[in-house]
Amino acid sequence: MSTALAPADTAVSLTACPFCGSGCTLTLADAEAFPVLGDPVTRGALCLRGWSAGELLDSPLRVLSARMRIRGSPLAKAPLETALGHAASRLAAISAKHGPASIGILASARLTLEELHLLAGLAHAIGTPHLDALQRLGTVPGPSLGLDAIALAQSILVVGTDLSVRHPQVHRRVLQALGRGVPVRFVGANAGPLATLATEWIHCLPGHEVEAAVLAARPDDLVLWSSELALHGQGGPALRRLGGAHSWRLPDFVNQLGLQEAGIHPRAGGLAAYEMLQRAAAGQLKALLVFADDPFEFFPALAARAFQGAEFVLVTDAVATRAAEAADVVLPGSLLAEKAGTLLGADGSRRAIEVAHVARVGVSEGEVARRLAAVLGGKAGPAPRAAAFAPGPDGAAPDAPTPDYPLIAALDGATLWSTHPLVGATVTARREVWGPRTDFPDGWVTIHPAAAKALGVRHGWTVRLESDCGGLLLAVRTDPHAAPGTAMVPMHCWERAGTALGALEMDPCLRIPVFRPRAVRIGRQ
Amino acid sequence: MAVATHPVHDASDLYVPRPVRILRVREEVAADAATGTKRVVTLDLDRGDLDYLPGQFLQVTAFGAGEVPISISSPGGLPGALSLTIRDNGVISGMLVASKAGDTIGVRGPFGNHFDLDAHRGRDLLFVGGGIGLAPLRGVYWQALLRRGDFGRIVLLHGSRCPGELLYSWQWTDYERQEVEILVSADRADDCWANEGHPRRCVGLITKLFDEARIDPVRTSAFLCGPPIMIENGGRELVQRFGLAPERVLTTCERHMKCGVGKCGHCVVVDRYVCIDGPVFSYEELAALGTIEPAW
Amino acid sequence: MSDARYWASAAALEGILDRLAAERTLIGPVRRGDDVYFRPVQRAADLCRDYVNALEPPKRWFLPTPERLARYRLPGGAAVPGGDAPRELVFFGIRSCDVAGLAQLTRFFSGETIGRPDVADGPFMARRERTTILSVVCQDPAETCMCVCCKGGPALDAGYDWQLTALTSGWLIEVGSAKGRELTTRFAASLAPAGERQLAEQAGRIAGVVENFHRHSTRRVQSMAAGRMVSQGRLPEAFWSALGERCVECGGCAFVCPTCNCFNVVDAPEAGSGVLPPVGGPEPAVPGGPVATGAEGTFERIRLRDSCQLAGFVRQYGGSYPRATCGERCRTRFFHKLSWQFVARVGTLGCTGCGRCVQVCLGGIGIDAVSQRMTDALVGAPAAAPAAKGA
Repeated sequence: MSTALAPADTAVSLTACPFCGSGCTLTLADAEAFPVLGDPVTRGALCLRGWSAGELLDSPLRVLSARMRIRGSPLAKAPLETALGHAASRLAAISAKHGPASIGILASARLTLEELHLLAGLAHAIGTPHLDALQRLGTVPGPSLGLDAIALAQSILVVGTDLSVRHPQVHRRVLQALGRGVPVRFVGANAGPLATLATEWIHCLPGHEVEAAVLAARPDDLVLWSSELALHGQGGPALRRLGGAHSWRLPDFVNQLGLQEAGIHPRAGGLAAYEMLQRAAAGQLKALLVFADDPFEFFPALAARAFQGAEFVLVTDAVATRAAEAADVVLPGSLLAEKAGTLLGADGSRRAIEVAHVARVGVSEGEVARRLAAVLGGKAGPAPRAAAFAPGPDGAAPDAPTPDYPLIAALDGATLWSTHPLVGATVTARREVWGPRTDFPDGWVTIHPAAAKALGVRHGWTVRLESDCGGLLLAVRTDPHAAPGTAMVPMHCWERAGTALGALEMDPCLRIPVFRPRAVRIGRQ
Repeated sequence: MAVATHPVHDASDLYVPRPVRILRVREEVAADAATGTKRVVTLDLDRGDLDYLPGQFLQVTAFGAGEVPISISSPGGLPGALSLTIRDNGVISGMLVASKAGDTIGVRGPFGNHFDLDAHRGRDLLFVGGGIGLAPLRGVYWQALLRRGDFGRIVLLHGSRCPGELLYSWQWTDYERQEVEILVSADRADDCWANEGHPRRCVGLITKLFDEARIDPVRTSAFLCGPPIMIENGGRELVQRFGLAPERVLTTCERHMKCGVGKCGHCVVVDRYVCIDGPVFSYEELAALGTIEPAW
Repeated sequence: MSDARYWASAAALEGILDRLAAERTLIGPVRRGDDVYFRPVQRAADLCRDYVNALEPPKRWFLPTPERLARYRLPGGAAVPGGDAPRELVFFGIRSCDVAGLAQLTRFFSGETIGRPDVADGPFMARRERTTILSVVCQDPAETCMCVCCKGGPALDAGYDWQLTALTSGWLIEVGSAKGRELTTRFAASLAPAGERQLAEQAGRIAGVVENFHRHSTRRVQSMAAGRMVSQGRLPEAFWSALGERCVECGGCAFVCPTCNCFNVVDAPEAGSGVLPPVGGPEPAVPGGPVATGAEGTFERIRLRDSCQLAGFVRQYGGSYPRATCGERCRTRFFHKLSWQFVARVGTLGCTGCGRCVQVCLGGIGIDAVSQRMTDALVGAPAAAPAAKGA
């Protein structure tokens, strides 16, 4: 009475959590997610997003059928073949009339490596140089260590990222290191609980983390950082000055490193993702193909203009998004749990995922890309390896506080999931992660309780947050983990606050949109 | 623990809402964006054979949106409509508030314990309703009015943030005819308030009315409902300043609920399930719970 | 209630399990890599023998997530009970800590703990009543096991239909219920009454597990000290806020705990039928749900596992949070697990020592670490270093 079940007939299938860069392994026992104990990354734990992953399978917001709109009519259900055929013929027509470079492709960091290669193949088949992902968030080939590095570290320096929200498995190992007496120092503003648990909290204003880290770093430090630095516009300096052998740039999403592997980044003559939206809005880019992403998530106004400006937009996704609502054709994608394939872990290693749940529709984003490529490219063949991404010159420096504008406003990286379409399609993670938006539907700004007191405002009050460019009204949220001197803006207000405060800029180095930290003040409404 | 040898339970209708028709909708409070006032309506339902005791609640379904607990605002044992007074507080209650006569909503219940009026026979009854908190009390004092002779003075104190948010003012004359003394307050007044009108009124927090009421602490049982801070402060005043017996000061607790039957855990306060052990608690019980965690 | 004890050879037990697998659904431990899972098997030979326990708690078979409670069509359709008819299950290989947890859940969901059988939870009880529990006594505890602290094992006096102990030769079977007696009657031919030597071997083995427990696991649930501290509200706010700093609100402890049972209930449009709300308008109660009256379509009332550690769990209508900080929510959890008030209500300690919360916690605050902190607080010891034992 002993033999183990052979993998072929096991009733246990292992898939990956589709959310953050930790890339935990989980099983889905009848739509109920459980972490895998024996997996070296997961070690039996998940964060609430992972625990909620099973709720995606039958979510009310699943896209279970194709839809298309013709000549201004509302989106209506259509057979998959019809919608796919329509998309192919529209793209062929646009390519013939305006050239292949009038079509842009937005990829995703939650697709398998095989699917990303198919997207690269689609770009090649169409003949367009415009292939990128908003979800790249400035990732470029760089140092990738593993969780073992934390276990072996003699001292740790965490730079500008709230690990408990962004990289829970790393957070867990760092807490364990603290427990062993390893000094853990935190540099930056977005601290989360590590602010009070760390051996030392090295305060610095947003945008100055790299300098502060370089000053504070010790030779045997393991340096941990993530996209927050790039989103402050400091991606270039971070790469150059933190990118040593003992440094780990933590990926934000489950297969963000796969984007690099598949060569999905702005290339010579090619637009970056944000630029594609801008060009579409200007009517210069004629078609957008969006795969498992929602440009409306962080840039709703620009995305609306982009979708209006383009002649044709195709969205392929497993869940309904604002992008899908505004598209001309919507094709159903699949969840990660419904696919077999390869993902790159945070340490850069390959791992395979299995089909953990029978696909609801049986079409994946990769399949759509393959079929479009076959129709549009004829015998184009696999895409040649793209040249490595070449970072450009650094962008503008962050503001320093002034007597009139004594606080620094920046993006709160811990709110990365606050509008995420997959999170929004669950019940439990949505309630917790999107929850503050119910309490503060018009957005908020996070400040330290002492700062609120000094300003004479209270948690929940509406205030005016303004820079020398302009301002906007937001509710006050106080948080004892907030750094003094900061006014942190949630990421779902990136565009609105960024535009009002003059912070939303394009970083020429990594070719991503950023929120350059701005000097601001808070006034009573 | 007795697990049945052979199955006893099947698919349960414990969680299945029964359809009930809305007979009438009366607007009690109009929405006012300027003051942040939310709309409040009373739904009169075709109760069928549903019966209940004063203080109990129903789990009410807005079909398509979900379920919320609502206290019953009409007395039991009477033919006629069952009343629910609901404030627009969110998606589900908002849809209930937007309902029209003839619409169907869902109900489960009645759930919870009740105000045992028999235990207060012969005493003076003081009802203190802060804002929407008057709604659960209405079923109780209305029930008391059906047996007016069983009780001494019946005093009704009602306060709200502003005069526009007072409830059931259309019934006050009726109540006064049945020898109910009514005093009202508003945290802040407006022009019509300044007219020294009737019933007796003042500006300020509802607890300001306690002195006006001139209650006899030995003879009086008090029933409070309102925002947590009102229950805490009001209850403490009645017990400590006026000397009412803490077991004679009763309140009904509002808590987020998902099941109403002591299973989902949302309404747990310390070791009590508000839907099973409450929602009616005495000040004495809540103060004891408060040593572990604030129970208001 | 262990009135009768039997012995079966390994082959005989295998035969019994094969028969049961043919007639009903047999669920038992199977291995996948380093991990064990309880899954339906066709034959006893597919079961693995060398395991301690699965990280997935058996409660998921009785309280699945999601579970459909009702469904209705709009406009106008009446609501009907939902869910598939429960299957006849035989659960083999379940451990004592989980049997104790299941017993507690059964007392809770039957309404027994509140004296209200009229509000018994039909869906749970329907599954429970159709399940036969054949537990296997643990003889090789894991590093995270703590059942001896909680009367959760390695063997129990009640809660099972059969409790099996592996002997050098064959199995000792203790019968714990009427359903268990029915089974022994049915399979009488495969069973022999337990002899003196077999009973002595069983007793010796169990005593040995208890005596040597510390060689396997040095973790403890300090239930005495913890009980005193939480039941009397003697832990200051600083104690809880320190814990709150470590809790990342993942919900994992509640999802794996054999006695946790909190759930959320939502009315949701059926899969794929939801629509996004108008931009700038109010958020719906569930993803894709309606925000105005007049919705149409098929809706399902489903329940989902939930955790009192989560902020949204305690949010009241209108947006107030009575337990606004994570630390206060940790207090709720440990009060429920360790207080005398709950022991009085439920009959047993809220913790059975299964050790899953130790495995699952990202913040390293399993019940062993927390109860140790409570003990330190009771005796006035200086607080431990920032982290307690690493997970």
